[in-house]
Amino acid sequence: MNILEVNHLKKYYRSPFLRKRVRAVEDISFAVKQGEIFGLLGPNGAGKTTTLKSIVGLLKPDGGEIRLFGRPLDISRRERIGFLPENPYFYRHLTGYELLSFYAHLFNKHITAKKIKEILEMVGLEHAMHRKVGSYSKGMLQRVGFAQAILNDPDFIILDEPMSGLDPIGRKEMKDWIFKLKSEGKTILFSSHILPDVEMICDRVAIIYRGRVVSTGVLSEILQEKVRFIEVTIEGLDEKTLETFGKVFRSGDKLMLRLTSEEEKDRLVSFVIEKGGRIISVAPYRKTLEEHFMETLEAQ
Amino acid sequence: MKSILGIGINTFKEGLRDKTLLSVSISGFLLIAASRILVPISIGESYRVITDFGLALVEVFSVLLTIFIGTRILYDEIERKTIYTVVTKPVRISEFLIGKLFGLTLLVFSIQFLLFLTIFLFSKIYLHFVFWRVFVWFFFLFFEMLILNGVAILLSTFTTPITSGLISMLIYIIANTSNYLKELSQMVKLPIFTYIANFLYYFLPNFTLTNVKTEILYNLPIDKGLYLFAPSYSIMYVVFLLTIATMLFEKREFY
Repeated sequence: MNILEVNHLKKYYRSPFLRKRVRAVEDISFAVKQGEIFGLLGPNGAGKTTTLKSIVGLLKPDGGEIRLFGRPLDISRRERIGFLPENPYFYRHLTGYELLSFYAHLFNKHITAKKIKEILEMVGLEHAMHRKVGSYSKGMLQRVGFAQAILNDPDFIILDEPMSGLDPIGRKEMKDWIFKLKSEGKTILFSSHILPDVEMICDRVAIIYRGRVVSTGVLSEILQEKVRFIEVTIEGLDEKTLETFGKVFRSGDKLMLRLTSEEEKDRLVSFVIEKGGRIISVAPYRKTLEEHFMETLEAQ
Repeated sequence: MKSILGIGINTFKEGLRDKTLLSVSISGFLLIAASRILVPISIGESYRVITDFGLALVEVFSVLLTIFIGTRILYDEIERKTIYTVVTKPVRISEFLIGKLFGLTLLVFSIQFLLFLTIFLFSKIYLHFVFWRVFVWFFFLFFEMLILNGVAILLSTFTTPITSGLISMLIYIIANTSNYLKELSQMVKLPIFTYIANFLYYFLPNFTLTNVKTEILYNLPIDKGLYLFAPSYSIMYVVFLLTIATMLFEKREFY
């Protein structure tokens, strides 16, 4: 079941002085399935934030269709979604606890003080919950932003650049929270330009470039499309015996070869066994998301 | 209702921290206190002079507060992007605007009340005179300011604080001179002037209908119907203003 469907989304801006139409999003289509972590990838200015803002209703699309839980976005759908904007800004005069209490008032469901405290503890702000948000660091703002996004126990959570401004520990924690939400059956859509983060946590991705989706699919499938090389580590033979298979690298008493096809690898393995050598490891080196991303962009 | 209350209280708290509020309020209290210098020159009419001066000050400072804070109330939400995490929650735009109006009204009401209390205590301590009728005027001024708050909120849905501040001030002046406008339009025989004056008279708020300052100062009877008319007129006018504000704000996008 699709939680979100975006079909041929279009959005244009008007330049401030000449009122010239500027493209923000030209043709974005993708769907997010229930229970998955879906990543929107793209360089700055690709249209990720515009897409997310259109989904949550901050922007009005100029074309296309957005369906949330099978219907267009309306007030009742908002009860079931959580949203963390990019570089979130909050009321500086409130404390972290007061801020979440304020947001709790905006939902029809009753959110208890206990629940607010639990969420603040979960995001590591229990020590700062009675401090003014105006005194929070960027990382703390991101944490409180994540806390308000999950306050209503939403089914679908939209996070715009959630790792932005976080230190390595914070990023690790953010990933853990996202995995925890997934394990609870939540669906997560997030945008990022930090490829290793996406690679680590996303089930599926859509790569956006200049307002269009240029590639979409299951991450493991995208990356398995092409194996760059297979590294075979061998023991008990010398370089000369193996040089017919290509360049041989030595590391201590082990030898390594990089082969470009499965057939070559099979031939080498048979040859080593026949010559009395030992295969230590066979490791296929697949394309990284970064390489796929760059190749896709270059192809555009 | 829960969301309106939440937004209202948050707006009130935010307003309390506004430096403009502090400076305008302190100036108001100081000026009321300074009105003591009028006592020696008021020739036996000191309570009336002081009260008249005090009431005028309260009105001026209430208008200033409404204009300085009210016209920025939505602009700041948009500029600071705090609105992103509010309108993406299950909150209707109308609820958001009613909440903002509630918070602003609560803020202006609180300061107004403190200023009135200052006048009351001042006249009791220095003039040994308990002038209860200032609270009657407080009642009427509250409903005037409610309309002006609504005007400020409406204008801030589509203009900058400076523009909406100037227009709010202009509307306040017209609202206090509506009767003169009507009379003037009957005196001047220019059709275009009559048309504009009639439009302003009927379309813009009319504070002259509920202005009872003279009756209060000279202890004259006040038409009892006004006690019902002032809140009814004010609430209906605010509903009209918020309806337009909602229609305009719903069209807004948040880049």
